[in-house]
Amino acid sequence: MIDKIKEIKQEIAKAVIGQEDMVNGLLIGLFCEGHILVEGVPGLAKTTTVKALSLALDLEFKRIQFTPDLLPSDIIGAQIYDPQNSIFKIKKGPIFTQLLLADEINRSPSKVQSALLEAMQERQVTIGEDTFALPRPFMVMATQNPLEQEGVYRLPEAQLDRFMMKLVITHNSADEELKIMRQIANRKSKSIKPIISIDELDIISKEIEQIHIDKEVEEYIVSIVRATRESSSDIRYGASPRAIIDLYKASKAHAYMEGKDFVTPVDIITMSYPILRHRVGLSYEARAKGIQVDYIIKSIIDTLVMP
Amino acid sequence: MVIRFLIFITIFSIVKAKDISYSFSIDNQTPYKKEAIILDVNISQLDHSQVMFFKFSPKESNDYIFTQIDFKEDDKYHNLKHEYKYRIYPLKDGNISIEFNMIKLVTTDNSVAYAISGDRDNIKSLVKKDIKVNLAPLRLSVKPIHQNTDLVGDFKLSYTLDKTTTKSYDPVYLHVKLKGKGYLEPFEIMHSSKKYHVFAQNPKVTSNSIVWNYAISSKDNFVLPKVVLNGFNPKTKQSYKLIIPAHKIEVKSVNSSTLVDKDDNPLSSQDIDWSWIGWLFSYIIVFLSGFFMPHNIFKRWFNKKVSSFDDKIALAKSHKELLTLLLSSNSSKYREAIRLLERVVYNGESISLSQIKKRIRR
Repeated sequence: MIDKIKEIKQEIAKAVIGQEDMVNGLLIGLFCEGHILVEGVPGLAKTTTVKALSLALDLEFKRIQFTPDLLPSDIIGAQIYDPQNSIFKIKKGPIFTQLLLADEINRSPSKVQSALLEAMQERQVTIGEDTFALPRPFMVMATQNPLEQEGVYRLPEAQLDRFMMKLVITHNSADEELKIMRQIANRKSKSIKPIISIDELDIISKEIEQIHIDKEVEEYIVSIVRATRESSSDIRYGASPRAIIDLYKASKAHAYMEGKDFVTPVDIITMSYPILRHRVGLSYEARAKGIQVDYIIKSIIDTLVMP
Repeated sequence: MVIRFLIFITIFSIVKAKDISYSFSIDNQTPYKKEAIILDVNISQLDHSQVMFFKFSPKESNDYIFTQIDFKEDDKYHNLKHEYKYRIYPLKDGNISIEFNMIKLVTTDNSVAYAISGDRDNIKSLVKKDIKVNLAPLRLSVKPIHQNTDLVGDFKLSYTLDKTTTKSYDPVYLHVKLKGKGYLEPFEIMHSSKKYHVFAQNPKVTSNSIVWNYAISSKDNFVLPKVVLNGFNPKTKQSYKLIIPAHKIEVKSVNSSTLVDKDDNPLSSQDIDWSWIGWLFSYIIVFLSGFFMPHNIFKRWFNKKVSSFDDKIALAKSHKELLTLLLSSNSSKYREAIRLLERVVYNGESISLSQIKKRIRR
């Protein structure tokens, strides 16, 4: 199945040049049934990547642009009165999909964010008196624009914890941007073929679960997460137990994607940054000093002895 | 005591009008010039059918000065009584008249009730009738004193001179105190001369004393002259002298080039004040700290001392140390090197450390 993953990446690369970390993160999220929060400035191919992923995996894709006037019913759906038959009909919202791009999630008020985040956690939606299970697989990729801070509704810490990973997308390298420019200029738009089916996706998930992880390496995961909760003038709060579970799953998925049958500390450290960076709260002192969460995670990794 | 009593009972006048009565009494009708006399004035309301207020005071004059030393008021209902006591000093001899201002204010109970019914936001004035009362002046026959008399009364003089040997322009301090009963007005007892300079404070005058403080300096030796104050006690009719004897002040000369003021400043040479250098450096340090801190210059200097990441890679002694270093950088630039190192550390493959370092450098 590892060859299939490489093929998926190659297919996505037809539409998206570079952004390897984002593609890897999305695949890991998909394999582990986790949701992804992506932070990056506009124009970094976030929508294109998710769209390409849905095509390569033959999954249904929908996009919601979050705005201040969005309502929960615009996402989950509502009961609509049918005057001809004098009954209420269920109109399902765009959340009934397999890959959902929640664009600029912090543009909507908390009631809308809560509606989405609840559905993400429960994987089911209740409209009126009826409860509907969301399709499998179901993954949300939510985006945040880090530049504009006015008129946004910051996601609360408890809501952020529901995202498995937070990926920080940076600009492509100069070579990659040259390729992007030439691709657009030549109007070379290659079609993306579906590579795997949902059944094969289930097989990959099961194979990831069977990846071996040594006891010492397991303890290393716990040590890293617990270190974020230790008293420090730079940390306001540390990562939750959910972070341990997510780091455990993501490390296995990363090892699998690297073609290994066991997890090494390299997988754990690589996944520590996206798993922990939205779960560690910085103190005011640290913010004033301009410290980033990644620096805190790096300090923890430097301090702990790698098994 | 008997004499004092006899003098005191010299009642000048007792006058009765229709509605008020007033009386004046003085203890001495023929005082010496500048001798204190005591005037007692009593004013009483006789018409008890109305409300009255009194305003009384001697008139100002160049012939005498006066001080009110006591006042009593008995403001019983429709029966007002005032008692005034003044000390008066005649300032010239011969016959002088002490005149008075007296106003009687008449009003009614209703007017008073109306006036006091107001408050701070609704002030109601008291409607009253001001009636001037003409009082006969008090005549005194003032006896002259000797022309050279400086003080009239019973006084004692004391003084202190802090030293009689000093340096050029370094002052000697003279403190003089005159204390007693009698007429007191400010005057100077020391004046500058060609030989020395007198720095004087204004004399401090109280009801029974005068204090003088002087600083006297000179370049050379000098003599503080004798001070003689001629006094006259009108009670005993005796003249007396209060004396500060002459004092010879020895002045040791100093090099005038070291003096700040070479003419008459009593300050001697001063050490150079170097404290400004400390202040200057403090300001410079504070300024530079404020200037450089936003630029993070100190941090950059500090970071320069720490070796760069490439140096750290070069110094890594084992595969695991290098792997740890590259992982903590969280940079995709080292992804390939991390994979190689992982294979060596956790898969037992054999790739030399220097070979991996070379790849990283490429």
